[in-house]
Amino acid sequence: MYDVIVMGAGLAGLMAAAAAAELNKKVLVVAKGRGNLYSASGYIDFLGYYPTDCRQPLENVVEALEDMVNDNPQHPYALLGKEKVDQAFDFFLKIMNRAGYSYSGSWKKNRIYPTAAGALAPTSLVPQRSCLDLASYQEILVVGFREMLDFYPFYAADNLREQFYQQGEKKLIRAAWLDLGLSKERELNSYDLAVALEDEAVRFRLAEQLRVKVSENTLVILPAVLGIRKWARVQGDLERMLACTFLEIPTLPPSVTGMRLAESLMEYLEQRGVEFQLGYPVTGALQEGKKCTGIKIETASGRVQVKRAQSYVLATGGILGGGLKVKPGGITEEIFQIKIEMLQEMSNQDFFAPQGQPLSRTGIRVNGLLQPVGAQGEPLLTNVFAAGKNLTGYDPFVEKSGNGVALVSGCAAGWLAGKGAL
Amino acid sequence: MGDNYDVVIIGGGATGTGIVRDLAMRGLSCLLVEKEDLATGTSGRFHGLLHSGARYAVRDPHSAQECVQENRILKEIAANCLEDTGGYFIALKEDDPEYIRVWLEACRQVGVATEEISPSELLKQEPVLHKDVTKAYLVPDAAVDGFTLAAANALSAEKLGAKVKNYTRVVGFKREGQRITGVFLRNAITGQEWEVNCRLVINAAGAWAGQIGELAGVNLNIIPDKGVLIVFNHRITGKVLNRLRPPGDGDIFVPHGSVTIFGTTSRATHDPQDNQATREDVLQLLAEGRKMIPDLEEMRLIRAFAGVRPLYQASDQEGTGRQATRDFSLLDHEKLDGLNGFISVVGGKLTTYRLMAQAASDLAAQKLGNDKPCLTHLEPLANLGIERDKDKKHLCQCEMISKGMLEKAVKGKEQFSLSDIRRLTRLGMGPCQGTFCTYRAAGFYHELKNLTAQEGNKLLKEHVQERWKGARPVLWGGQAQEIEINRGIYLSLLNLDRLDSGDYV
Ligand SMILES: Cc1cc2nc3c(=O)[nH]c(=O)nc-3n(C[C@H](O)[C@H](O)[C@H](O)COP(=O)(O)OP(=O)(O)OC[C@H]3O[C@@H](n4cnc5c(N)ncnc54)[C@H](O)[C@@H]3O)c2cc1C
Ligand SMILES: Cc1cc2nc3c(=O)[nH]c(=O)nc-3n(C[C@H](O)[C@H](O)[C@H](O)COP(=O)(O)OP(=O)(O)OC[C@H]3O[C@@H](n4cnc5c(N)ncnc54)[C@H](O)[C@@H]3O)c2cc1C
Repeated sequence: MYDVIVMGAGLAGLMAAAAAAELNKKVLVVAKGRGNLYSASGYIDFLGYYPTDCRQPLENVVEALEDMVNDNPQHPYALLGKEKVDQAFDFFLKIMNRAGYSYSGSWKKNRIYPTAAGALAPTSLVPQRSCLDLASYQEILVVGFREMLDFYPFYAADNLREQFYQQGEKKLIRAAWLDLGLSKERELNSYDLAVALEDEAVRFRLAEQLRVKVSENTLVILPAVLGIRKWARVQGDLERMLACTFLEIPTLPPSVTGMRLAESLMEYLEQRGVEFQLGYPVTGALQEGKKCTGIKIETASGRVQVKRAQSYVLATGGILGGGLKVKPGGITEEIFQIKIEMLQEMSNQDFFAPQGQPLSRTGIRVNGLLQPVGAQGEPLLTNVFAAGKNLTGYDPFVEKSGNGVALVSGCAAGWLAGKGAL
Repeated sequence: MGDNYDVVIIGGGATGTGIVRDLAMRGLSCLLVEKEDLATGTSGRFHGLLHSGARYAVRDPHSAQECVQENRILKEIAANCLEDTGGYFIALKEDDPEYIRVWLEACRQVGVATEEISPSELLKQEPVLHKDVTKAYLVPDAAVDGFTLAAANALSAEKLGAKVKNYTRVVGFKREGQRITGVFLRNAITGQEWEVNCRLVINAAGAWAGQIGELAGVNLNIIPDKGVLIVFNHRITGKVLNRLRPPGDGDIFVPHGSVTIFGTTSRATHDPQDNQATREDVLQLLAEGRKMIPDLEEMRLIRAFAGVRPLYQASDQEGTGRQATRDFSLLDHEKLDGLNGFISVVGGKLTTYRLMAQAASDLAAQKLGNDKPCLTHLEPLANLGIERDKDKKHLCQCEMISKGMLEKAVKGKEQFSLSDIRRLTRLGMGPCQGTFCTYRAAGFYHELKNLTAQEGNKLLKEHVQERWKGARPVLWGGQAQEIEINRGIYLSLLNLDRLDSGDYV
């Protein structure tokens, strides 16, 4: 018997487990697969654009959050309120520090970082090692690797130059390809390269090729490939050898930055006594009235195992993470068989429409306690708290809030579940 | 003033490109104009079946006979553009056994080779099929790629001196009394207009042929008929699969590269440009398809699209939709309407494009006093030269496309979109539908072609948008999840929605 069972090991699930563990609860995390952190960037975007049709990054985030309570009360941030947001962010910064992979920044202020296409994009928290102010660099070198097809330095550099120019900033931005001679046989992704760069000899080769191109004022922007576990060593070595600054940016999945976040967090949670059962799906639940009394886990042998707790966190990632299934006839949350209101039209003709896509906004409706609710707002379950991409009311992709909502709602769900399990 | 040609051909589908090759081989000087890219009309929005003739044997024996002949010829001259899969016709319990007898006899009459195979043997080879198959026959169906077919015909013609201009629309005709003497053209991208002179114009504009007729002042009764097709993320069967019953909706599966195309429907439309598939069409097709493949609804759909059949009705008495003839018509407007220098070739099927081209070219040659015979059935089409190379670093992993292939595909192109490249190489056509390779290809071409940042962004966004159009009617199951990943990459990771690129829709 556990105090809290968390379903899902994405950022929402991991934060829920951390929050409940912080209350000294006995916690089990069950997940069928890795969360989306392995694809998404390791940056935490709280709210980049609001209302979503604005083109410029949000300046006053606190004010936007207040507006949101009025214009979009179903938004997870609006449901939870500013205080919970504050607490969740403080908590995240604190535990990541303890986990040895510190973050910096604040949800109240957007920082501007380049993307792999060279767009300047708002984000809130970045790993400490990537914390810098672009404005203070006059000279930027964007670097790609010949063996990797997931990053194009000249394209990114052109867009960056254009973006800075529009803001009236003139910088010297150059691009270069490096060839580490790693693989002629197949293309490498960022994970392969990150593993390779943990080898000192490969790192040395990189430094040799870069040496002639950089000075100590250069900011080197490159895809996030500077080591997985030995990240501190890899970047530290390079900066020592070349005396310039490195900024890793996330590119196509798999995501090395997200992986570092997920793995440090999981390691930390294990140390705190959180148990993990990974690789198996939760296939159903036992219920007495509105109370969940157990969940069914399908094990490798095909046997069904029942696990019980006082409270449960449902952080199975929505359509993206596999927690919600879309069929021609309707959308259902598969563990508790929660029916999701089917939208008339699931899509806008314009993929990039500023109002977002109904498909991305679809999810479970919850109340301020994160309990799933029915059409009249009545709770469907009293000891189950939903979080992350499972929730409706926001399109993380246009407003740039995916990890932010996962973090805040995950934390809140963990606290609520933990407290409910007194 | 303007340039002078013997013949101007309107339409860069299979028919038009077939004609320009045929006439170029006869030594005539030709210009082909296409308002978009080659095979963006029906020749790129079709089922991809090189008919054996079996489907039409009962109701349209003449048409079936043409298919038999052309099927054999194309397997010789266009081997690079098709995959000789072979095909099955299968009858289910509910299908009329009497029809099987009639069909077999009709196939024999028109010369379609059929070979019976036992249901148990069939199920061994294609285990996904319904257990209630009562009869099954092998026929020489094949899968054909309309994009590379049109491109290879065009290239063959260009090698003989013909001019092929895409993104060039015919906006009017030059006339002297009752004679067409040239065309007015407009560049679809820059808007620039010019004119060329010619001795003869051939209207091969498919479902748009009626509109071209109108521009020339003649009446052409084209009934555009829309058909919807859906694409699954894998090869469901190794061979083409047909239902052995009178032709209807949702009864053919065609394996294509790494995917399967299933369809189709038949519905009259008013607009030849009407190529949007709807969710309802898709559900209707799935309901039919399930009868042949019971697990169909569990399989991953990746997109839906539609094409418009150029059905031609000489008089109002003839049938429409599936009843209309699949035969083609060659119209000599000098005889029909007293207008000189203008002929139209309409209707038909992609399978018989070469024959249509031959008929149109014979008439054109005769009118222009050229007595060279048609040789198109004897000589293989030009090689596009973008076959797979040894490079194992694949920019598009689904379809295994290297940088070298992309480089060859863009050679000589001044204006291009990733869709144009996709048609030549299958870039982004596989299971992930461009989720990964669109960004890669845009980054690659940005550098290769010295594009500006904006042009690179446009290339990227336009293609993401195009793939989205196909995914919208099938937003469920794995595809709904894939689209979420797609949005994660293009909006969250890259912030493309806030990056300027002019118009991309
Ligand atoms: C490519 C991409 C890039 C992104 N980039 C960013 C970014 O730069 N910044 C940002 O802020 N956001 C970004 N996002 C959005 C953000 O990643 C998501 O909104 C967020 O990760 C969702 O977290 P989650 O914990 O709710 O879900 P997920 O991370 O998807 O986790 C769901 C978990 O539930 C498990 N699960 C599902 N069903 C079951 C079941 N039946 N039984 C057991 N376990 C189950 C899954 O295996 C998984 O462990 C991006 C998204 C994508 C796709
Ligand atoms: C759903 C569906 C499935 C089909 N399946 C098969 C099959 O499996 N096998 C088979 O053999 N046949 C099939 N067909 C039929 C076959 O696709 C068509 O008969 C054939 O592609 C027609 O080719 P075309 O060159 O005549 O017309 P198109 O390919 O449509 O070419 C006409 C071209 O003219 C261009 N054009 C129009 N107006 C202008 C202008 N003003 N200026 C310049 N250019 C202009 C258009 O852009 C277009 O590209 C199918 C048809 C449909 C609709």
